[in-house]
Amino acid sequence: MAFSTVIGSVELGLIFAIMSLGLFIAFRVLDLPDLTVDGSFVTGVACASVLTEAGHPLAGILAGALAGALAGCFTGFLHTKLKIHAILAGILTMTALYSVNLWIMQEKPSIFFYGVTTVFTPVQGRLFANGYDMGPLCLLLVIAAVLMAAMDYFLRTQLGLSLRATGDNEAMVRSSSINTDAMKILGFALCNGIVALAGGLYAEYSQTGTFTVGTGMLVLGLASIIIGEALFGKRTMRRHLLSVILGAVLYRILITYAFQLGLPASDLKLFSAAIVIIAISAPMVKPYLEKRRKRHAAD
Amino acid sequence: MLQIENLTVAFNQGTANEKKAIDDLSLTLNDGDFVTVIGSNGAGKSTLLGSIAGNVEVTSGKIVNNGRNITYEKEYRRSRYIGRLYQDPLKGTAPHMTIEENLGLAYSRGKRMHHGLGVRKSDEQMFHDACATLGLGLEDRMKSPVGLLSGGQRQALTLLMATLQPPELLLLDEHTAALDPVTSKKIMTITQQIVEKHQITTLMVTHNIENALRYGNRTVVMSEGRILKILSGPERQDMTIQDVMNLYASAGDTLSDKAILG
Repeated sequence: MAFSTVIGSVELGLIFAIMSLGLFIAFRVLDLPDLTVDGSFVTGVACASVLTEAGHPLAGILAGALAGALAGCFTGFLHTKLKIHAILAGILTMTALYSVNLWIMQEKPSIFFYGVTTVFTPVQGRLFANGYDMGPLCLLLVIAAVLMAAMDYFLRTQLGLSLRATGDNEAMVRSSSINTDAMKILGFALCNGIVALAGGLYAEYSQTGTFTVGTGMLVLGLASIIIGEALFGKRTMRRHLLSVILGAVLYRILITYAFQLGLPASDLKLFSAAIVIIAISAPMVKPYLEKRRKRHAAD
Repeated sequence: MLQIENLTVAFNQGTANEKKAIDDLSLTLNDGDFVTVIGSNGAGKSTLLGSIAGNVEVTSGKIVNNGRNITYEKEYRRSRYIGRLYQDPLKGTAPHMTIEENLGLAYSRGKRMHHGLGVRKSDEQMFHDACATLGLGLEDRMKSPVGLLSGGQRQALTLLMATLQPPELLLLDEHTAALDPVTSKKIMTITQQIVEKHQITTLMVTHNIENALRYGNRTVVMSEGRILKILSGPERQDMTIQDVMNLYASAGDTLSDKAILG
């Protein structure tokens, strides 16, 4: 792979790493896979696109994150107060967001804003390696690192511990004077806020806002988390978060490589789903083979 | 002081399956009381605990804790001043969090949410010392996930967590029933030590008549949602397992083998 291709896929990988860190809160901390992310990612894209076009790139990203967090609150409300199953609650919000996102984008399915100032503009044209502008990569690295450090700290605060315990043993948390409903809503809000933040970065990075871009985000995030865990471990919280980032970047490089080998772009989702299935089932293969070997040895 | 007045809990009300789990029950626990509750299956022991803790909805009657009516207060709010242990040792701890983090969470119970880390440097030594009092060697494993501990260790930790901030009321729901006899005895001893040390008002449900008579200062014998008899003082001291069984027989109730053998 050419140097620029690798850097390009690392950049995209970092954006998806930020998205995966968001999903991590729902999927690993709360133990609730949240399908809202397919919609809230686009909410981030939509807000960033509209506001960047209007000349407010930073406000666009922040507004997107806030809107994503609101969407998460809504899913949390459906799940905790109206007792709708977490997955269905996510699907409902995601479906509703489909219209909301179009509405934010003023009914335009895609917005292009080439040449407009984005959050990446200030870092561009300063640092080059092999003739490739390393500015965006550095900015994304910093954002991912800061987010990771912030999450690592937050998850060890009293509120963070309560959030983790809610996903770990809900009965215990209720009997230790913590409102589990509030914790779940908070978790969904954080998850989708971060996912939407990644959506905003993605839009400004690609200088395009397409409202269909969210499809498969959940699977992509799951793939990153699971690949990261399998390859880099999850012994401590810090290690676990780092694994998610590395997993997302590696996954992106893998996909870029698959494209280079001639994978048609239309097969991407199939490929993503296959990777998730393999990554989840791989840990089960080894014990199975071992058991089989023992059984045969006993014969 | 906990006052329970004319408490009734009925399930499936208004249907053919209506069952009064608790039937017009009144009971008062004075500060520092350690009351044990025995009764056959379906006598309403766990329902009684559940309605005090707030996860069972009361049909009628009143529960007053230290002068405050808590009959319909939300479960998580009551748990600010009520500590609770279940029969299942896995229920009271978060398995993927460390011993220290579990304690940190328990220690914050009832307090205002504070900023900064959940396990503060200044608390670490205190958590360490608290674990050491259990005599199970947990103090050397503060950074290990709780999921690696045995059932008995987890129950001991749960007990510690429930009393780290001494609660106004401690509810024990057959908390040693799932443990082997040796561990069960050990947990009972620790329970007694902690309760006596902090003078916590305690209500303990048990199937084990011997334990019910040995620990605490009063024993409530329940049958069919009512209190059959409250034993205390010399009468309680002279009570044998056989006497309790006779008491049941007089009420036309039968006991499970577990009550005699366990």
